[in-house]
Amino acid sequence: MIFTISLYLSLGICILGLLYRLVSWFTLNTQLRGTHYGWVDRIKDASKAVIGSIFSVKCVNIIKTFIIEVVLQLHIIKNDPFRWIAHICIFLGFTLLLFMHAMEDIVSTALFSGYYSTVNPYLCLRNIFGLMTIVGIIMVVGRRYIQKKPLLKTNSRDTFAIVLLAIIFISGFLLEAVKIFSEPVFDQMVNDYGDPSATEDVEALKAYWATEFHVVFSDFNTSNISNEILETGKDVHIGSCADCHSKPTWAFISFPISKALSPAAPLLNKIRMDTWLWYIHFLACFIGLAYLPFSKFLHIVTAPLSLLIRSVADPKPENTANSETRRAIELDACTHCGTCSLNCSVAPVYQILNIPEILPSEKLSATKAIIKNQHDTEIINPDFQIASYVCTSCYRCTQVCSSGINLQDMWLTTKRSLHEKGIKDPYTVCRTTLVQKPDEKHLIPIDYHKVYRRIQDRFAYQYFHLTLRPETFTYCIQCQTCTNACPVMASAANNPNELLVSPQQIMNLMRMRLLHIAIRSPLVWDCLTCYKCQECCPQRIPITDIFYELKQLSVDLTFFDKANTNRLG
Amino acid sequence: MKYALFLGCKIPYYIEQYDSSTRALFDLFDMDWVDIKFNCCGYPIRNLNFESYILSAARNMALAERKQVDILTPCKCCYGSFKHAQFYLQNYKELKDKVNEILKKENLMWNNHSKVKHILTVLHDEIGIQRLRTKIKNRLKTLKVAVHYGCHALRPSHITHFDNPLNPSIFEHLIEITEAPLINWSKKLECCGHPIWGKNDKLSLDLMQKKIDDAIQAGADVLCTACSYCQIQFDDIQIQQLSPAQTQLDTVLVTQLLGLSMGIEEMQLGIHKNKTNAKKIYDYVN
Ligand code: SF4
Ligand code: SF4
Ligand code: SF4
Ligand code: SF4
Repeated sequence: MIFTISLYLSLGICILGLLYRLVSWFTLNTQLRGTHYGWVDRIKDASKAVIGSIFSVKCVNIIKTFIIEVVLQLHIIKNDPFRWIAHICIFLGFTLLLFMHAMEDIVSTALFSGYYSTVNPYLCLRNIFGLMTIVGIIMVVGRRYIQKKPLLKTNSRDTFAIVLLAIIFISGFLLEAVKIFSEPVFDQMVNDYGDPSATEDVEALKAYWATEFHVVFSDFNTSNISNEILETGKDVHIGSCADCHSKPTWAFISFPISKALSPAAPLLNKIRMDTWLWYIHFLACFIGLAYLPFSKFLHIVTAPLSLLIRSVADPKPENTANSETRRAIELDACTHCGTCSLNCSVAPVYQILNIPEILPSEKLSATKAIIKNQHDTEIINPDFQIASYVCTSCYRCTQVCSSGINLQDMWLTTKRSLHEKGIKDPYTVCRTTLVQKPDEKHLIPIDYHKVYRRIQDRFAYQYFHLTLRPETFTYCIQCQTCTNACPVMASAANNPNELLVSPQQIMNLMRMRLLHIAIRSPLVWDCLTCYKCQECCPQRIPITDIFYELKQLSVDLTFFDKANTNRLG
Repeated sequence: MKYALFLGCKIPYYIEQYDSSTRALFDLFDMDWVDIKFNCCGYPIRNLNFESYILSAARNMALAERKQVDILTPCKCCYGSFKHAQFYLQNYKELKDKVNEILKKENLMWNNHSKVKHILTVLHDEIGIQRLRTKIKNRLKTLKVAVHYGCHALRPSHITHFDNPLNPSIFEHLIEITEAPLINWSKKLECCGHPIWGKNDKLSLDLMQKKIDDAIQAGADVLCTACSYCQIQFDDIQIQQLSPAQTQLDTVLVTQLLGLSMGIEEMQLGIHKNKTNAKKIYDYVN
């Protein structure tokens, strides 16, 4: 009763949840910039694309991808063989158990005429598949919680999924173990398949099952069973039970567990531990089923979908209805596996700045939150802003993503859309706040104490002494060689509203300890870092490097000082 | 010859032809590439944060050290970035210790055992003009080439040790073997303008336009680059930003030009993938 109700309930939630997802793929506005397409257009274009791909040469790609990436998942091996083994263990073990065991009424019984869950090969196979899954889960736990790579982030969704999976499999094995020695289950079977009134036969069968099938009976002494009784028991067994029961030793995982638990067997039999474990087992399964559309388990559907889409889609897509739909699916396809972050080109920047959103797996979650919140700019914090612009669009994460998500497209469009929303890159923010505007009469002085403190906090403080150490610029003889060499000074594109201070003048400002004015010179921010000035300087003043330092200092004071002083260093 | 190829962040997505043509070119000279999963060289973050820059550069060099191999990069900004990082790490012990402390978490260590070289240096000094010449199949006798040196390999010379900063010549020596005439242009050593792209586009375009005008005036048929950023500037951005009416200079990568004269297939050269009309150089083959 509880079983049926919870099954249909969870199935109902699962189906509704999947429908909700399906609808969102065609309605969610993932157009970070440009026109948002309505669901009619999106369904129309998507169907066209699907039909177009299936009935063309592209179907070869689809079949190839299905075998290589969806089933064998060979694309994961290249980046992380360990993770491939773990995932393939869970994937195969889980899928095979799902069809053979969980859906036995629909699948196994229909396909195999002699199917009984307790007869070989099914009994043994179930243990093999279960073992595979458990091994996979242990590997995942090792990877996430023991090895603890600094770039691999684990969130509560990951933990919940792993715990749920572990509960399902551990309870399954325990259930099988407890059933092996269960007297009540034996009695029930006799009731269902035998004749409980034939007491002699039942006694003989008990004797046989106690010795050969390791059932633990409360009122039964196994030490003085005569061979005669055993023979009778065997006959009864062959007559009524043998067709459906292989020796429990074949359950090579559950059997040792059963043996280990057998001292407690009378108690466990009495409290009907098998029933309790059965409840835990199927309820955990049904929770998983109901939770599927809202959890990372959804990747069972979305990851293959995303991989198949990738195999036929344009790698450098235009902003079309289909790319909007694809993005919506991809946002649901991330398994938070961390492969992208482990390979991210700017991971060292994360190690210094400590902004999680720099890592693509975290940036994707943040992007998803922004999109789900209807692109509300309020929730875009400086961390996301910095992270988006720190990304070099190197394409690496897209190449390695195990779900085939086109992250490159995601980053490029986010960056552009942030820019359009006026959320500029840190460099531009600093330039705009610092460079003196023509109508500005008073300069906001820079707090030198703070600057010194910040610099000394930093592990690269020796380097920062460039701007603070007088010997770096005192020897400037104001010869103007640098100014004459500078291509920016010679360009006609300079903003006429901005005061054009030359490198030589900036060096003079530095000499006069007017760092706060120097930092406000447009040239510092328009410097090409071409090093022409520095190369020519007769006094070997590191002009370009001083400019670099001024910029780094400004970014530091503007972005990191407020947020978290411990962030750097 | 054994190197780890450091492509940097731009080549895999924006100029994959630089990757394939580089590999094809060196394959002619029995290059043994060592595959390493590098990260960003640190150049883009150098404007914002010094430590992130140093760690990025140091980690790459440490990865190469672990495999006991030197780094070859086709990008001048990556090259400059590495050379600067080496300079700072060598000269500031405390900085080096801190960086190594972080790298230790991954069992990495920077000890300056791996060298970093730019592609032009390896072609010129290691393979050598003589050996390169033996592979020439096609001559480009009428193609007037303007070589574009790029800033970050050339300067500051006491850090980069690339070539004479005021009168460099290795690029010319390499192009000469194709027999293509080299043009002399006054803005050869100027910046392409890309470092400021996205920050001050007007300035960036102005600097690019000046160089283009200068090269065309000096009679160039094609501009030859040896840096990812220069290539993006003169190829992608030139096409995107300057109207067709404005003078245009077609841009080709050094590996494409040399590869063409050595008879490498278009499949690997990818000249048709350049946004400007670089494929016209096929007309000059004779
Ligand atoms: S594209 Fe950005 S997020 Fe992805 S690996 Fe490169 S730097 Fe990291
Ligand atoms: S984006 Fe791809 S690689 Fe990154 S965590 Fe998600 S599924 Fe894994
Ligand atoms: S070239 Fe050197 S010495 Fe001359 S003004 Fe510039 S910084 Fe000063
Ligand atoms: S490095 Fe900057 S200041 Fe120096 S010459 Fe180049 S653009 Fe001018």
